[in-house]
Amino acid sequence: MNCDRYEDLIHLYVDHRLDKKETGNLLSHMETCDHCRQTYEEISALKDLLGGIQMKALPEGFEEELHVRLLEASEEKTNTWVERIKERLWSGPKMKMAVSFSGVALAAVLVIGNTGLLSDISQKTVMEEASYDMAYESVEETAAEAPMALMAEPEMAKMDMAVRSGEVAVTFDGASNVPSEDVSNYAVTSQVEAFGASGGTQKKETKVVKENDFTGRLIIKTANLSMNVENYDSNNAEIYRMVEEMGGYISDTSSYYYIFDQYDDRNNKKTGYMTLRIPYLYFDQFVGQLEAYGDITNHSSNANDITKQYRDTSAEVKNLEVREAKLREIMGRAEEIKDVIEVERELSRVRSEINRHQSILTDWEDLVSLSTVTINMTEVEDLKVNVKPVDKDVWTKAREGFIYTVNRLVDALEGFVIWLVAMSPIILPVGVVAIVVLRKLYMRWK
Amino acid sequence: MSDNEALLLKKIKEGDIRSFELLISEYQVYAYNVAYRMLGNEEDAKDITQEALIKVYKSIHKFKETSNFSTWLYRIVMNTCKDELKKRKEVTLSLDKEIETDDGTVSLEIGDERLNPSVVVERNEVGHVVQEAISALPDANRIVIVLRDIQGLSYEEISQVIKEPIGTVKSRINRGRGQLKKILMDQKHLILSEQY
Repeated sequence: MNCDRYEDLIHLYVDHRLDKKETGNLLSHMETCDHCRQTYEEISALKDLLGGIQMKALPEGFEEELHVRLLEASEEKTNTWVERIKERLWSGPKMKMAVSFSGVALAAVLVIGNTGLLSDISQKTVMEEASYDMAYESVEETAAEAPMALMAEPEMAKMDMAVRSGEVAVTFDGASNVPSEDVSNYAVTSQVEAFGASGGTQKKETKVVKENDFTGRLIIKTANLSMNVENYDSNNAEIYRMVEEMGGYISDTSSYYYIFDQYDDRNNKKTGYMTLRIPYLYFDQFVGQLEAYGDITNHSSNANDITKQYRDTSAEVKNLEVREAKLREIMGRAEEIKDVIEVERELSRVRSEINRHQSILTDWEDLVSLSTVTINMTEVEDLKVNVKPVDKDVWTKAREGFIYTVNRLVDALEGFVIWLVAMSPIILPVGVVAIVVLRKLYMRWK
Repeated sequence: MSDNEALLLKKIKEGDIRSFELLISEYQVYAYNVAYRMLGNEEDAKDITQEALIKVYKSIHKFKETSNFSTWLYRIVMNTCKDELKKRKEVTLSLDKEIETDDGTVSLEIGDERLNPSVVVERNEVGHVVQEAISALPDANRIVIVLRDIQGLSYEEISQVIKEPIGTVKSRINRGRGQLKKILMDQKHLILSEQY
C-alpha cells in the first residue's frame, strides 16, 4: 500500500478539494491504516490552528504615515509625466502663439454653436464634484471623530462624569426632564449609583454594566427621525454640540447638495443623514429637543429588551471557561502527540467560542449604554410655503455663466491642442500612410 | 469588481489619493497580516506593507479591471516581501566562519532561547509559537501556507498570486504543512507552557 499517495489526498481532503470517489477511497483506507489516520488528524489540527490565528490590527499611525508617503509618491508621479510634456510643448514662443491663436479661433466657432449644451454639461459636473467632495468630508469626519470620542482624554471624561451624575441626581429628585420608560428605570438607578461612585473614564461605564450582573434590565434603544430645517449647516453644528455635551459621539455622517446653484450660494440646499450615539440616560431628552430645530416629518423609536439573551450568553461564557480550565489540565498530562493535538484543537475551539460570545457581550454593552439615533435632515427654503420673489440678478448670472462656459471651452481646446501636438509623431506617419493607401485604392477603383 | 471600486479606480488614475485610501481601506489590514506572517516582525511588516501599497498606487494604471484587485494586491505585497527577504539573506552572517574585528577574531553563537523562562513568558500567545514555526519554513512554501491556511485563499487564487500552476501550489502546500507539523511537534513543550 502506498501511503505517500494518500498523504497527498489528505491535504486535498482537508481543503475540500476531493471528489466523492477519491474521498471514499481515502476514508476506507484510513479505516485500516493507523498511520494515515494519524496524519489526517495532525494535518487537520494544524489547519485549525493556523485558521484560528487572530488577525493583527494595523499599527498605530499606519494610515497617517501612508498618507504622507502617498503624497510624496503622487508628486513624483506628476512631476515625471505632466511636467515633461508641458515643458516640451511650451518651450518655443512661436509654438505658444500658434497654439493660443488657433485655440481662440476654434473657441469662437464652437461658442456660437454649443453654448447651451456645454453650460448644461459643465453645471452637471460641478454638481457631481461638489457632492463627491462632500462625501469625502463626511468619511474623514467620521474617521477623525470616532476614535476621539472613544479615547476621550481622562480629564475631560472625569468632568463629564461629574456633570452627568449630578444631573441625573437632579432628575431623580424632582420631576423628570428625562421621561424614561418604566422598564428602564431599574437599569438607570443601578447605573446612577455606580456613576457617582466611580467617575472614571468612559471604559468604566461598560465595566459597571458587567459588574452589576444585570439585576436591572438591558434595553437597546434606537430612533429614526426625518426632519426639514431652514438652515442645514447651523442646525447640524447645534446638534453636534448637543451630542458632545451629552457625552455621545457622531458615528456616521454624510451630506450633499441636492440643489446646487453655481451662481448664488444662497440657493444651495443640502440634505444628508447622521448617525449619533447618545448615552441612554439622555436618549429621550435628546429626541425631545430635536423638535426645536425644525419640522419632524417622520419619527420612529424602538426599545429592544435583551436582558434574557445577555444573561444566557454570559452563563455560556462561564461554562466554557470552566471547560477550558479542565482541558488545560488534561493538556498537561498528555503524553502522546496525537492526544496533544486533539486536546489542542478542542482548546482552540473552546477559546474561539469564548471570544465569540464575549465580543457579542461587549457589542451589547455598547449598544445598551449608548443609544443610536439616526437623523435624516433636509434643508428647505422656508418651513412655511409662500410665493418666491423673482431673482433680480438674472442678467448678471447669465453673463457669469457665459464667461464660465467660454473659460471651460478655452481649457478644453488647450487640452485638445496639447494632445494633438503630443500625438503628432504618431498621427503624422499614420496619416501619410493612410493617404497613400487611399490614393492607391482610388486609382485602382478608377 | 463593484461599481464603487470601478469609480474609485477611475479617480485614482486621475491621481486622487483619497480615493486610493478608500479603495485599500478594506485590504490594507490583510496586506499587513500577510507581510507580518512573511517577515515575522511588526516593524518590518509595517514598512513593507506601506512600500507595497505605494507600489500599488504608482502602478495602478497597469491594473486591468477584469482581474481581481485583491489578488493583484497580494501579488505585489508578496513580491515586496520576497525582495526584502532576499535583501536580508545577503547580509546574513555565517555561524562557522570567524569574524575579524579590531580586537581579534570572534565567532557567532546562537543562544539557547528555548530554555530561558523569560522567553517563554514573552510568548504566552499561541500566535507567537506558530509564527516562529512559520518563519522557519522555506520562502516558497511559507507563501502558500500563509495564503492558504491563514488568509484562506483558494488554490486558484494562490496560483494567480504567485503565478505558478495549480499543481505547484498543491505540492508546496503539502510540503509546507509537513514541515510545519514537524517543527511544531518539536516545540511541544513550548505550546504546553503557554497560556491560551
